[in-house]
Amino acid sequence: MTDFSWLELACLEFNQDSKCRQLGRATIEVGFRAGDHGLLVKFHGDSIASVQRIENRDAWAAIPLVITMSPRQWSFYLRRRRTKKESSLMVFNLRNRVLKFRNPLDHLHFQRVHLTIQALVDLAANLPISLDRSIN
Amino acid sequence: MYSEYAEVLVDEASQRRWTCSSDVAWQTIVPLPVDIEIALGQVHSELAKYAETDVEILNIWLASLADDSVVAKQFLDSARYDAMQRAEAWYLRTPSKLDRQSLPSHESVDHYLYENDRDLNDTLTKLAFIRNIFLLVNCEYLLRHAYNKADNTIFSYVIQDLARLVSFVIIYLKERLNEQPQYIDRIQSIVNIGLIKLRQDLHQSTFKESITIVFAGGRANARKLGLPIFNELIEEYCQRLFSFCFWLGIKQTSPSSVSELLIK
Repeated sequence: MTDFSWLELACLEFNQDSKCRQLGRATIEVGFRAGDHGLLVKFHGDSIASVQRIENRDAWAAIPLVITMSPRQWSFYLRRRRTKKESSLMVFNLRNRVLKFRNPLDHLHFQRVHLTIQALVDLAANLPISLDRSIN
Repeated sequence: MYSEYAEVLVDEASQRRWTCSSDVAWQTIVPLPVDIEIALGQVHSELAKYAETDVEILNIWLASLADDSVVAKQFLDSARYDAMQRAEAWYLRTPSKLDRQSLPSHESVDHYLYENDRDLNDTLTKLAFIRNIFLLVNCEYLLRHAYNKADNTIFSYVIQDLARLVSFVIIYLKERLNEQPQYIDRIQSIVNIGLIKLRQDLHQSTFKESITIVFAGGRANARKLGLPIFNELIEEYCQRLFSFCFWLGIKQTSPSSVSELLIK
């Protein structure tokens, strides 16, 4: 089980990081899910406006973009991303189908701002913590 | 809805603007085996032609807009700039010794895009469904198989730009459908004919052959390794195309199109 505390840390870093702002503003809601629980991250403008825990299975259906992986898959992806052995989420999705969209326009919305979402995930991958301990 | 969406996209476009002169790490490009170099050159040349077509169609669209459509014009102007950037980037990736004019390209789809271009709605339907959604999926697969950081950067930026343009066209068409619900039959017909044109191009042009070499990492494994990836790309394109059709309210699409597009 993962409690996504690593993602909460990454969100704090994201708001401090000028390189992330240089990628351009983004207003999008992204769910990070493992099983029925996870985090809803709301990007607004050039920062992350809020981070909210989701524990209810039904709540996921209303989120425009949900990235769903098992704890083991999250750990695998982030570890490989840290060592630059794994591609972006967009490419990872072509084989692993980890992205779920409410409708095709939401898919386009993800593509419009994919570099910003990837920047957050890469911050998480590069946190100076043991991802295995934090995720499993 | 269309003009509100345009405002969001104008802001996004200005925030995410890139230039191929300063944002691409050209020095990361290293020579590859000659078969891959030639194939990559042909793919980039073809993609540059797509971008030029985008510029021409955006010019037609801009000229057709009323003077009070300020925000829409702003967005289309920025989309035209984006298309010019990707054309330039991809031409820079095309070796000069490759004769661009002599390469057989996607002519059936190109002719179809310009056929009856007095009807802007038709042209935009073709641009979004037959050309740019296909191009978006191609860019994702080419990103997966990028050989250097420069190509990785170009495809990453182009995906953002193209997704904005496709979003705008889809929202525009959705609004047209609210005004003229009967236009849905026309979209369905355009998609079905467009898929036939695309199939003709995929069977005749060198693009399919070149991209399979790129995917396979060389000519030797193109059929064994590259072709299945290309067929996967086609299935992905059809799946996304049909999901847009369904979202717009088109319930019936040509079921044989997917298998006919696949290259045996």
